Amino acid sequence: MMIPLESFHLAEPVLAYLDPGTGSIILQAVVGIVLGAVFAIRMFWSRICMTVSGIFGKGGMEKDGEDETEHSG
Amino acid sequence: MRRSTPAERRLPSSFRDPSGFLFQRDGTLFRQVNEVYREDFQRLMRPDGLYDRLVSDRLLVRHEEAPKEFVDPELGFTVIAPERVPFISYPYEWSFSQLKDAALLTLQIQRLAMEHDMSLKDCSAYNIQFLEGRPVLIDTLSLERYEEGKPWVAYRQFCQHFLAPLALMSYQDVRLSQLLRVYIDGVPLDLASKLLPSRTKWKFSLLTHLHLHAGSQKRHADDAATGKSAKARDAKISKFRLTALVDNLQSTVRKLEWKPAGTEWGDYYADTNYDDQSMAKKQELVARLAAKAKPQSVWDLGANNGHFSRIAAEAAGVAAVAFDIDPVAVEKNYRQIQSDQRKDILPLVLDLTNPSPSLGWHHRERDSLAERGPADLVMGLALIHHLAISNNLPFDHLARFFHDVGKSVILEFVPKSDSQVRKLLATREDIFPDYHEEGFEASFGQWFEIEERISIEGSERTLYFLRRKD
Repeated sequence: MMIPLESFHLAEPVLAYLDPGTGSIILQAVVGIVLGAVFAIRMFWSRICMTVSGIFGKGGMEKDGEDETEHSG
Repeated sequence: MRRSTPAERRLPSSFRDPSGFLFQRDGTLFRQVNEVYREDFQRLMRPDGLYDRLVSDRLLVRHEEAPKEFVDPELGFTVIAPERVPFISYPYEWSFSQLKDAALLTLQIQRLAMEHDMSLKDCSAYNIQFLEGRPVLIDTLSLERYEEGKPWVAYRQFCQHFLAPLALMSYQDVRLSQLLRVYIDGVPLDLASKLLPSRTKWKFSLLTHLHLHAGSQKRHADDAATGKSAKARDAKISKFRLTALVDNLQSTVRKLEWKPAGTEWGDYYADTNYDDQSMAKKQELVARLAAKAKPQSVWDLGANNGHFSRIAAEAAGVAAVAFDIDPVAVEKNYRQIQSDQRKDILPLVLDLTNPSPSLGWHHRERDSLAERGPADLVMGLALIHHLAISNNLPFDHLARFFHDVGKSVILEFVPKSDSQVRKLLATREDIFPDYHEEGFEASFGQWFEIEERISIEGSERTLYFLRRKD
């Protein structure tokens, strides 16, 4: 089995060249908890929808995801 | 750091990131990648890795490996030659949708990067450029290895460079994009929070990413002095939560819209001062003169919705930059280009009476309009009377400006008897005794060879083809 050489590098504390800002980090961690929960519910709900549409064979229900390649034009 | 040789030139905008820098050698653009970035670069360039994915989706500029001829050999790991962007533009020159597309591209790259265990270490809007009609990331070294649990270091910068100006343009006034010209590292969040209407506090995403974010910055501003910031740096955010955060930013940006009050896109700028026949004649003349100039670069100043920029670009077989002072015209032009999937037009917002200056450290981080020229061909159609009469600019000043920015120039002279000029003079004293063709030719003749002077049939206007005297 091939193990990539990079796997042996220990995760070292890399300081960013940008100052991420203490307030921004704290907010990010707090907001991440809320948004993570919402995201989990959305994914769970989307799976239920897909399962239901699979059972009833409708196939017409849209996947609850968004096209990431779109441009607003 | 050694000094560059005369044949080499380090780009003055490329100094912040120790991972590497851009330089020119004999007119070719290179990027030195430093030893400190080696492992990140190797992760990025893995076969079927992130670089391949981003380049195949046209989200990142392609690069070629170049000989390892370092400008700074002590630091160097490798050298790459990135694809060149023909015209560098800046966020304060973009319309609403251009900034929005640049924001969505940045977030899309961050999502893809995280799938490849990488992350954007900065989110500068200046790292995005428009290439062949679409936004693209030009800073290959912006991507670093992602470490599980590490917060997104570029979150603050994304909010300042993209989310804050977009929200201000959408909810307050589209002209607030010009704040980016004042604040080179994006709109400060406390300022954005003050300027945004209170109703934005009822939108969860704008409340958190902008208003609460600004409050959090203020609350923790002195933490470094009290030693609390080190503790915050240990804060963890799981990959799942970080993905949720980026996903939320994506849907927040997508929902931001702007359109001018009371106007439908289709109705805007339908009026012209030409009947069908004289319009056809003008189009034919512009196409012929643009082809005659054999340009590699075309600037259309006062391009409105870009109608003549398209004609010139097609006739000359090159890309054209279509500048206009009106953000509505530029927005409409950009939307049309997206819908037509055109690659040869770059619409930009520009006030010619106060064009983009050189900005940033040592005045050298962002180039002024003139420093990005001269263009091989500059067009000024139905423009001169706005500058000469509305802005009191003498022809001598105009001639000197066009001489600075264009090697060949197509200019339309609009006489005082024209209804558009009469309109401009209706509410003010006529203090322009030299505003006539003879005055125009006397001034421009000092700086240009007047190669052609053509009356546009069915109108009172004249089209000039000028070549710069060197």
